[in-house]
Amino acid sequence: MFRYIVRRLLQMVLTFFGATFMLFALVFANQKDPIQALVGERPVSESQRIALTERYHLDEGFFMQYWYYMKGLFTGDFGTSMTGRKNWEMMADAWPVTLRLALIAIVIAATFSVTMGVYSALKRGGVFDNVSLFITLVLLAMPIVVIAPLFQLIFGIELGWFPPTATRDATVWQLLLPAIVLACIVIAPEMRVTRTAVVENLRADYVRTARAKGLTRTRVIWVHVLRNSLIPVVTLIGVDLGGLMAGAIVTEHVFNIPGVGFNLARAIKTEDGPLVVGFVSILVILFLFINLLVDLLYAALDPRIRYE
Amino acid sequence: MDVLPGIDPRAPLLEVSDLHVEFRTQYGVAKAINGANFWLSAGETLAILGESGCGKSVTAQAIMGILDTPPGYVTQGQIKYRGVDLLKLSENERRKVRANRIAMIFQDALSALNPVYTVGFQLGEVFRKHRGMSRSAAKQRAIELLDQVKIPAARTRVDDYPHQFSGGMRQRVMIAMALALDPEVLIADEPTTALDVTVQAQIMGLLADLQRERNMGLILITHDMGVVADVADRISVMYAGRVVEEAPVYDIYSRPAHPYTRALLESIPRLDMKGQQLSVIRGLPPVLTDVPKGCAFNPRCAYARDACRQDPAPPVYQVSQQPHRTARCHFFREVIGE
Amino acid sequence: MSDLNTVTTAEAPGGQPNVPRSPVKKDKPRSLAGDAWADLRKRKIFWVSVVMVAIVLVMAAWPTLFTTADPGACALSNQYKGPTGAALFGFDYQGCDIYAKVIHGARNSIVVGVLSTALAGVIGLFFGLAAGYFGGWLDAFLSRFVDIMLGVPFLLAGIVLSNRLSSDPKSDGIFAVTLTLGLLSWTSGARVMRSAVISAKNQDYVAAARMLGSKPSRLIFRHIVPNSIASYVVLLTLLLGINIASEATLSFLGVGLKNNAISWGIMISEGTQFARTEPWPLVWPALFLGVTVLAFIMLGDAVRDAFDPKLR
Ligand SMILES: Nc1ncnc2c1ncn2[C@@H]1O[C@H](COP(=O)(O)OP(=O)(O)OP(=O)(O)O)[C@@H](O)[C@H]1O
Ligand code: SF4
Ligand SMILES: [Mg+2]
Repeated sequence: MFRYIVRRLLQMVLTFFGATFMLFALVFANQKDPIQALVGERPVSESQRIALTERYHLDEGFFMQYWYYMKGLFTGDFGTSMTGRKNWEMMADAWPVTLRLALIAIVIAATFSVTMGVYSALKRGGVFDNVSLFITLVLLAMPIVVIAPLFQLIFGIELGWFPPTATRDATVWQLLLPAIVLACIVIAPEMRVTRTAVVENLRADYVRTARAKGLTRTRVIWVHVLRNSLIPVVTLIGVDLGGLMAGAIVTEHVFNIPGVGFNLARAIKTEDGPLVVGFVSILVILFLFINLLVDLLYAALDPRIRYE
Repeated sequence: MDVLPGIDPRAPLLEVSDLHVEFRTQYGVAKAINGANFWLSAGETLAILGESGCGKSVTAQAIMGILDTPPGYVTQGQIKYRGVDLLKLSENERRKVRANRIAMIFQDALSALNPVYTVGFQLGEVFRKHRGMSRSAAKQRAIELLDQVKIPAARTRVDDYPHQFSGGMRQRVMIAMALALDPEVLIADEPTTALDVTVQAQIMGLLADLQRERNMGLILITHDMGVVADVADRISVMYAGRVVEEAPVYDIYSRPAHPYTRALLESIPRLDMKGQQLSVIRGLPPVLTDVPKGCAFNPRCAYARDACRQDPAPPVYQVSQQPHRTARCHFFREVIGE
Repeated sequence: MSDLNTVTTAEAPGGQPNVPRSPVKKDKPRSLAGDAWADLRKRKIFWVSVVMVAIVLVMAAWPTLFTTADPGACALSNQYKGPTGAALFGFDYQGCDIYAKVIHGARNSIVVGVLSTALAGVIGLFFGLAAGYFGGWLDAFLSRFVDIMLGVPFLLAGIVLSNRLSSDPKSDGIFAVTLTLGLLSWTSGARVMRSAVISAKNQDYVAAARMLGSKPSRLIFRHIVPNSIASYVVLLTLLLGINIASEATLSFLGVGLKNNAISWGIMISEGTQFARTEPWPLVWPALFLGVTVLAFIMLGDAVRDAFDPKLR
């Protein structure tokens, strides 16, 4: 297990450098006017130019720039936004909000996809099963740019069940509707996988043993079958992570939630190059770590898997 | 222990009569059991023999009440435990009979154990759910049980997962699990088929010891004629979902009363050869959606004549009173007399 | 990345009834494609998606069949006016004819979607074939490269790349978005192609061809590609739906189509800002986008089910 983690971390390091290098190259390499590229279309004063040149080592070669940037990352310097605030500070403000949003979304998604997936599997071929299969297909196909504004319109504005936008403190109540939107991204695939896995596991021999032990049907399903069925469901979380991040960016933008995605979207709109690069690097690190975590969780769920 | 209403300690331990089970599949209704009869007393070992697909496992599952429903349904018959017809019990009462009174072990212990829980958890679960024990007390009992089935270092192994055990050890775990609540009936469905020969002998020895200690009734489903000769008291031979012959071991080996039993015995070269699978008898077992009229065995039977091809199927003939023997063949006298 | 996708599930118990496999059907052996087609023809969902896709394609090719109005002719005096005559869906914030805009929006969606998917298809085909066929260090290198690409969440990479590619403030962004999506979305195709090639390589007839001295190129194009192309096309159909959605997302965030280019994504973005006053400018483009993406994904899904022999 330990060796596996070390190996995965090494792989991650490689991926991390590769990914940030590509990212960095995309933003900074071969620009005709790197400073203008950094600040976008706004005018830059001479003093700003000097400061930026210094800050980003624009007078040095590209690889050196990357080197300085990396050095910054590892010494906790994630760069400074064009607004003058440290990227790290902005992250620290935005992070708890996004985390709360993500947690609510995960709770909603897990509850729904698991219960409905199990129910579908138990009643396979029935009305509920067919209807939910169709709904999940629609949900699977609907881009988040469609779901988020439409949900806001229908449930937030027209029906008024939820607050349509969040304020600065982003309370749980305000985050509920956006979390549902976010959950929609994962509910469909997770529910389908749960359903398939439960159907498969219901046929397994150990189910018969569990029944022979005189356990109740509820316990057989929710303790024995479900635990086995969760293994593929967890793997899927890793696969869906990129989609979730994209979803968070759009959702926060639509619902005005001052989280990471919202700040990132605004940084793009205001063409704040350093902020974009800073945020994206942090998200890349996070993405890699969560993927590792999912793999480890997978091992915890399935004792047969031994990482060497 | 919870008391079953109407239980009669003097009634036979287990009595299956005229059991019918069918599977309603998309290809048609498969009549897996078409009137099975047998009984079992305390301390006795009954072997159920028969070709693959004749309904041995389905019978066992019907007794346990763990048929896959759908597609499987018990359509007729009685399964009496100490005089109580299990088929008439509510699902909840039925559930309490399992493990408490009647327990079962399965052929392939690897797939029969849940791969994601430790052996200790799966053993302890029985105590926790039936006896309301705490987790730690249940674990203690699990360790004791593992000791009883002679698993070395039970205290440490209790936290291992099924895949960490060898095949023989896994089957011991299954046995421990089945015996946890001191059932009076144990059904062992081919408990040794998946194991190699030396381990088979150990497991059978263990089963026999435990049975003697507890005076349990044991139903042993097997293909292995050698094992049968060693441990069984009586034998029920099944064909196409019916018990075609029932007799004490000695009598059946020396004087089979049913042509099918006879063919089975002739198909093994030497009786003392252990681990022999039953060789194939001429022809194929019937397709269950389309069982032959009359005696189901008639297309393959050397003794068959017109009466055998007419409905109804041969009744349960009493071959002899002492010892008690039955056969479902119109011409059992001829078969036994030769 | 490590291969943890092999999920071990307990084997199903051998409980198949001892009965004939199927109600004796004696027809000629058919090809997989023939089988798949026979299967597809019976699926309602397939036909529904085909019709939807056809409508969208026609809309993209000949928008004037549906509307004669000029989507660019907006008059502030028309702001939020309800439906009148030809302007079936009313007018938006800037007084533009929503119906005309939505119809004309199909073209950019489809153009970006098809071109980027084609680009991704070609790149994926090329890299997948190369990695699968030659194996060795090339395979290792390409696989690591794909890992690195997958290390960056798709939308994040899209935002940065698209931003970089459309540095010209006056461009409409179509080229930039197409290139962005094409360059970022080929990885799944390459993976599928690679494993298809590897499994095909081990098949008897390919081994036989190789032993008879066929040249690698001939092997690839005569034997391996035709064999795996079906599943590849299915994948691309799904990808087309995803890329259309991605274009809308990038445009929605302001890094996709720009300036006067008509895009459902931009319309949704504008509509969202004023949804409180007037919902329709948001609802219509959202519906069109949703249905279009759904159509392609449904189509891909249906074809995949039909082609997947494991499911029959
Ligand atoms: N779940 C099920 N669905 C449909 N048919 C079933 C099912 N379980 C068993 N059967 C059928 O019932 C018949 C009896 O099966 P059973 O498993 O009892 O045979 P068996 O005597 O135990 O054979 P073996 O020696 O191979 O274990 C078989 O023909 C089988 O196909
Ligand atoms: S009844 Fe007839 S067919 Fe059946 S076993 Fe006896 S002799 Fe054979
Ligand atoms: Mg069996």
